[in-house]
Amino acid sequence: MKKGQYIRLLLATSANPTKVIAAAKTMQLHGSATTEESSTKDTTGDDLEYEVTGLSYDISGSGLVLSTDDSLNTGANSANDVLTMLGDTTLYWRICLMEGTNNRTVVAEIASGQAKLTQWSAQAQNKQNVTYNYQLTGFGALAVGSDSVSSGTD
Amino acid sequence: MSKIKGQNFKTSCALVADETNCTVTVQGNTEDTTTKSDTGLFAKNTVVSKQWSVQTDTYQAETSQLRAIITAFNTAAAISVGWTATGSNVSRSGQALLNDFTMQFDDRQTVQCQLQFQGTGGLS
Repeated sequence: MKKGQYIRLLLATSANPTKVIAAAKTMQLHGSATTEESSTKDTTGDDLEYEVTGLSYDISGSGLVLSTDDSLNTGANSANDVLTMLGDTTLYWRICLMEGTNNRTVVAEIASGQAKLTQWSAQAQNKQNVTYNYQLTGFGALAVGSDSVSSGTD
Repeated sequence: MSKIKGQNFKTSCALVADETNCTVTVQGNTEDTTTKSDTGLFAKNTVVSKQWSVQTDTYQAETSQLRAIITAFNTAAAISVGWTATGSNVSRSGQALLNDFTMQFDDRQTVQCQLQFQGTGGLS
């Protein structure tokens, strides 16, 4: 079974992003289909029929807020980088299977698309590491990835 | 009396592998058919339509499985979904739409997916 640390979000304001989220802890891809009850008088029996009328998705996750960049975070979006993306800027994202040093080298792409960063929040609790949460709302199609992808190492 | 354990009650479709939990819901939608001829306060509910849904949590080990979920979501077409309880006569299948999915990628934890299907049409 693959562990979550090998699946990472790459995010940038330009196509084909190569930078992961620095010190990422969690990440979630969620898709939702709007369905409509589509039975008609032609439908026999009592069983309802449905059809999909719309698709949407969002991506959310969390990471640690780092005081300074260091060598570990080369090729990574810091909390500050992510915060500056908030707004109507179109962001490009990829969710990839990663390997190598600090899991920064793309092995295969699982999905990709465009999105808007719609939420960012920071949590600071006494004696604990400061973390932040982010949410991306999908903009347009959710593309299926392939094994033939470009590197994710900056 | 022979009981069925959760590990022996399994959903099946092209997208589900290494299922951990599943919930099957079959619902009858009712209508109160009470008329002015009826006495008393009690409703007379009649089932006027039926619907069903399946929710399942699974471990997904391979990128190909994750891609297959996204492909099914994008296609928005019904696929065959069923469930069966080992050693019993409890099993049904039908066509269903993948109307919700969540892929959870957490540090040090196995990648887990939650899939939700809305049945379209009857069960057999």
